[in-house]
Amino acid sequence: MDRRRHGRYHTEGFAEVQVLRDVDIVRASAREITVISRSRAATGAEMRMRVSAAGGRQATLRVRTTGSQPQLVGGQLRYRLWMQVLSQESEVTR
Amino acid sequence: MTWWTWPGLRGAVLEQIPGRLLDIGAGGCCLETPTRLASGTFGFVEVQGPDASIAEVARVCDVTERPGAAAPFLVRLEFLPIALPAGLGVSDRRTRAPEGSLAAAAEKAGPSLTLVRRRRSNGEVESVESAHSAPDSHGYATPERPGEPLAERLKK
Repeated sequence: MDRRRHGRYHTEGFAEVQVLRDVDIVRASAREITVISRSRAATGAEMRMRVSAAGGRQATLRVRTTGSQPQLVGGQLRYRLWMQVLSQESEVTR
Repeated sequence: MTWWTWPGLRGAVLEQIPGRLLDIGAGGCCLETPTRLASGTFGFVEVQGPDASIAEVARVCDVTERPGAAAPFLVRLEFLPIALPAGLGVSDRRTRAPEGSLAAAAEKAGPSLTLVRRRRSNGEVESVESAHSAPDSHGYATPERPGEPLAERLKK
């Protein structure tokens, strides 16, 4: 079914987009995690982070941004984010 | 073994980006956002109108930057034919919705839009079916896995 053939309806409303963005983990401990991200995050912002490793191990963390600093990585603008680990929501091994 | 000691640790953050709906159709929608989203980014979009909400798995098709605007990015999203989790509700599309409303748009679009909530006249919010699980839905829906977060499925 080609949904593009359907009509277009103008309306108004609030929207929220949830996206997963990959980050490079620089340093991690039970309480803190430092990452390099393509997008900045406001200090105090809380978000969920999924960490994964070989063997299908995954954990979901609740983190809070405690600081950010722009930097160039390979000529590209990136942000170093310092995050506090608030809690670990789940850990699975597949 | 604790997560921070895992070798080859990789990470992904789930970002929640607010926006304002400009228009919506069966195949996608256009939003104003304060944050740039890269073309090709996959995500989950929820639109809340005065009378209803819709939720869709979507992909960013195109982003236009408008320097100086309060919400400087115009993001066009394409809805993807991926079923939403079963927990989003039960079917009820038969009640007529006011013309021009989000619920009316969803009603016109048929099974292509997923109406997840509707607000009753007394302000209560009731659940409405994930359209992708309807019998007349497209054939691309993946099996429902209620226990698995949507974000996990998006990464597969």
